Amino acid sequence: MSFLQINQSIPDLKPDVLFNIGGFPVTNTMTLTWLIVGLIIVFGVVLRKSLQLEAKSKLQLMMEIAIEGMIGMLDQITQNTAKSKKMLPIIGSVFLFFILTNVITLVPGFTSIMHEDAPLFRVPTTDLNMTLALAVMMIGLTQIVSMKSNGVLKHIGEYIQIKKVYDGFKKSIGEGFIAIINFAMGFLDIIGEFAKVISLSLRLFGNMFASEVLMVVMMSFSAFVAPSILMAQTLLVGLLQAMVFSILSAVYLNLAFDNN
Amino acid sequence: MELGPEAAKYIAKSIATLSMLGSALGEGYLIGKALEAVGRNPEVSGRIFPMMILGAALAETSAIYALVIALII
Repeated sequence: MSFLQINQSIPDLKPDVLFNIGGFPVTNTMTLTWLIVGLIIVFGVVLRKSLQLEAKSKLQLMMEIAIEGMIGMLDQITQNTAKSKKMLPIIGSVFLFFILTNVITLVPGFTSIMHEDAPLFRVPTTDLNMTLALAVMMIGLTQIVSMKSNGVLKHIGEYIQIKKVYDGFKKSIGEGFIAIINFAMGFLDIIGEFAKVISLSLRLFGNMFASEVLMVVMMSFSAFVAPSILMAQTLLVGLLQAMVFSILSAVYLNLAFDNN
Repeated sequence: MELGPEAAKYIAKSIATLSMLGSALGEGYLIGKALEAVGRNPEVSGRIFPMMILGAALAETSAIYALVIALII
């Protein structure tokens, strides 16, 4: 054991519980989540107050460029500016939130503030509960949007295609059997929706958790110079995964809009 | 020589991480094809690059699953 190495234990899969509020455990990932949400809200309110028609402040110009970039990115998916402006509030805020959560780990000393021998803050995306919650929210939203644009019965009919089997047998026996195969495929689509949730959440969680574990391993190998390469990689991976999460949910939302 | 449960755990971890091979192959193929497309038609590189990054992140997914499984075991 030399001064070049820092031995930490590999982080646990589940976050540490800090305290309980009425039997509801508050973990260290939750504190950071709410801190970031608060930061975004305060930033939004402050920016909202100083908005001008002709932008003079640097902050407003910066946000205008960012929002135009996001609309441009959504346009590549939707091919329709009106639709991407409709999607921007939800996709853009999820994107901003994930960028902040993934990058905040690089602020020195931020994750080493202790509270009763557990760190007060932990990066929210290294907790599967948090990414799973957001993935469930996004896929649930696509279901609601699809119900709204197609009608509830037609939306459920996409998964349980009884009507199509009936129509197929009315035409001919052959078409009826094809419709039965499609009927079975409809159940696979239900599984597919759950697979979407799992893949969206595990991708983000896996990337961020892996970079955290790799950092601990690298620290025990050499505490100088070598982790900085990993930190640069964490920055890249964090931005990329935030982008991938929001682009994929935009693609799913776009499909839900397009069904009719 | 007999193997304890600890040894079986490490063998299971190594087998789980083997599936990263497929992800690496897929990513290499994807980036090679993207570079080929840019070489043939350099003007569209601005549109191909973000799609390539997205595809690479998707191809990486199975490797990430393997990593998560290896960490959990």
